Amino acid sequence: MAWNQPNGGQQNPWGRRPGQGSDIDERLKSLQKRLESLFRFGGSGEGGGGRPVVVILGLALLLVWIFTGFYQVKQAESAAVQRFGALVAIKPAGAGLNWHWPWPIETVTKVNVGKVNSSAFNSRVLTSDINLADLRFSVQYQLADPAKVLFNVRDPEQTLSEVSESAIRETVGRSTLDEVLVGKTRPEITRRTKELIQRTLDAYNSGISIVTVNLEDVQVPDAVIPSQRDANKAQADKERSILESEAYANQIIPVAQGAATRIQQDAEAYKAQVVALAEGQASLFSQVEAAYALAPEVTRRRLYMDTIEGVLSHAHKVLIDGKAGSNMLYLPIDKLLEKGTAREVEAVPGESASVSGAKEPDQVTVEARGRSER
Amino acid sequence: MNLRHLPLYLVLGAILITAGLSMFTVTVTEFAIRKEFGAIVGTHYAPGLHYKWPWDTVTKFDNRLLSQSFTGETFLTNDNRALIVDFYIKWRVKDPVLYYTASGTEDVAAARLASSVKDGIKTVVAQRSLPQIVSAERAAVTGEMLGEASAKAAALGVDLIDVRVQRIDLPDEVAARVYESMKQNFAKTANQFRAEGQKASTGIRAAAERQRTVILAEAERDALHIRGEGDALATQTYARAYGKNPEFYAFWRSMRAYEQAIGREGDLLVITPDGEFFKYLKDAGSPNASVPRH
Repeated sequence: MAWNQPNGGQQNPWGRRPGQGSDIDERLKSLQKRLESLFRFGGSGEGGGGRPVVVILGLALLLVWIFTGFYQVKQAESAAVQRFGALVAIKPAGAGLNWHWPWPIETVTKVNVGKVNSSAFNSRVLTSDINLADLRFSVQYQLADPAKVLFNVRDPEQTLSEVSESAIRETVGRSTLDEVLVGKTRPEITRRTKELIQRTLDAYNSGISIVTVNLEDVQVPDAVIPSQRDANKAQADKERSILESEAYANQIIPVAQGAATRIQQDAEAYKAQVVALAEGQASLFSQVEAAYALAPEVTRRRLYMDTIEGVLSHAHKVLIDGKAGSNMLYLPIDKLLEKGTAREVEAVPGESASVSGAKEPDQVTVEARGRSER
Repeated sequence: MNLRHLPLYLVLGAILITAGLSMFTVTVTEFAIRKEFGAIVGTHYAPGLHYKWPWDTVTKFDNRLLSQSFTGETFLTNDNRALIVDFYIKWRVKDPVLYYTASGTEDVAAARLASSVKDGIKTVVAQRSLPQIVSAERAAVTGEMLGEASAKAAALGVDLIDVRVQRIDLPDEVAARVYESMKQNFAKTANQFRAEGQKASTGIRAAAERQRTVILAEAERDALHIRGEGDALATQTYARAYGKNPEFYAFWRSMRAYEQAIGREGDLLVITPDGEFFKYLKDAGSPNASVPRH
């Protein structure tokens, strides 16, 4: 059974159809016979003259078969070559044009090792404080080790999604809802998730390398969103009310400072005023006094007379000479005052009324004077 | 057809068929066992081409890491809350002969492993409260979850590599309670924010108003001080000036006061015509008459 050896396949283009023995002539003869019989069945009905045609046809088929063994390994690809199922070679990325023994001897499986694949997941996850969060996250990965990817795990991408969901559940399960919702702690969560996924995939020998884990969106469940919005709004309200009161403070303090300046200026003004007035009065008095000292007696009398004259010339006067008679004197002060008030009332409308009214008291005075003289 | 070649064709065909039945390939990802009339006669084949008798049968198993996931299994926690757990197991055929005899197919093996793993998970969940389960350290509970499954796996000819909880869901009514408590938490946060806002705002306003009061009071104080200085200075000035001749000041000031206080339009004065002003009203007097006080 020498044809079963691997190099036997190189000589026999038909692979599974063995020739009898190792003699090339014999095998070619049997091949030719079969081809002849095929042609006859095909209806051509020609005789033994077709021998060279058959050989040429066989060689052409052999060439075609050999050509099916060419394959290219692109820059981002890597290829595993298996001979009868056994791994014989891993062609590195970008190996270019290669040839393998065509089927059924060798098979080639290509893996795109350069491409960064992405898988997205939507998960509802419980947090450590027993709240629910809806997560949308994606995992970007590369099939870094083609041999492992092809031969170690049956469904690497299924495994990736199982491991990813399990990992995010575990990471988020050990964080509080706030930590998940607040942007600040998210990088930490994605970092831990990535580590966990990678560690697990390595433990499975899967050959997958995680590039990044992105936590794209975190939301509370729909039923809770209005409450969350209200809480966010409350935070905004808080900031707004602080700003408002700061604006109020910024307004009233300068106003108060302005008022304080005004009070101080008023006080300064008052001080200046009273001091100046005092100095003026003092100066006035000093000068009058100095003049008075020159002729005290006369000056005093003059001042006295001027003053009394001024006083008496304006007011209504009733002169009573107590010594002239001791008889009862009837003085209708209330009437006089009534007149005075009536005149004042009259006097309100115009200047002329008070001028005309001003004469009456004189007459009264004269009468009174005349009566008292009687 | 050329009948003289027929026997040759028959022999060739028989050889071809026999040859095809006499070999098999084993790929990298497979285990193969060869059976002769049902009895296992060959195992541990390396990947590649192998020979067998034409009447032998070959059974192949996947030697890669296999996965089986289970969804929607309900478990009870120690506080009697129901959880819906999705989990998966990862396993691998280890001993193909044992595997062939004990389970035969993946589904059978997975189902047997799953029942043990479920028991393990049930134990783990039943001993813990919901928060403990959610935040459990995986490494700490994996062993427990595997439970007797590992031993059972060995008897099935497989290696149980891992078991992992993929997802924990809550039944609707429990989820509704969680929503309610989340809402309350947010409401609490909202109230706290609003109260804090009010507190801060009141504080800022009060501080500002206090500052305003202090500013104004200090200004009043300073103002009174200044006015006092002014009054004091004025008083000193008056005292200095009037102190030179208090008697004349009394007279002079009285005169001005009369001018201001009496003798306005409409005043009524009832006067005895005595006093110096009237001294000469009735009498021309003599040069040496005394001046009486008015």
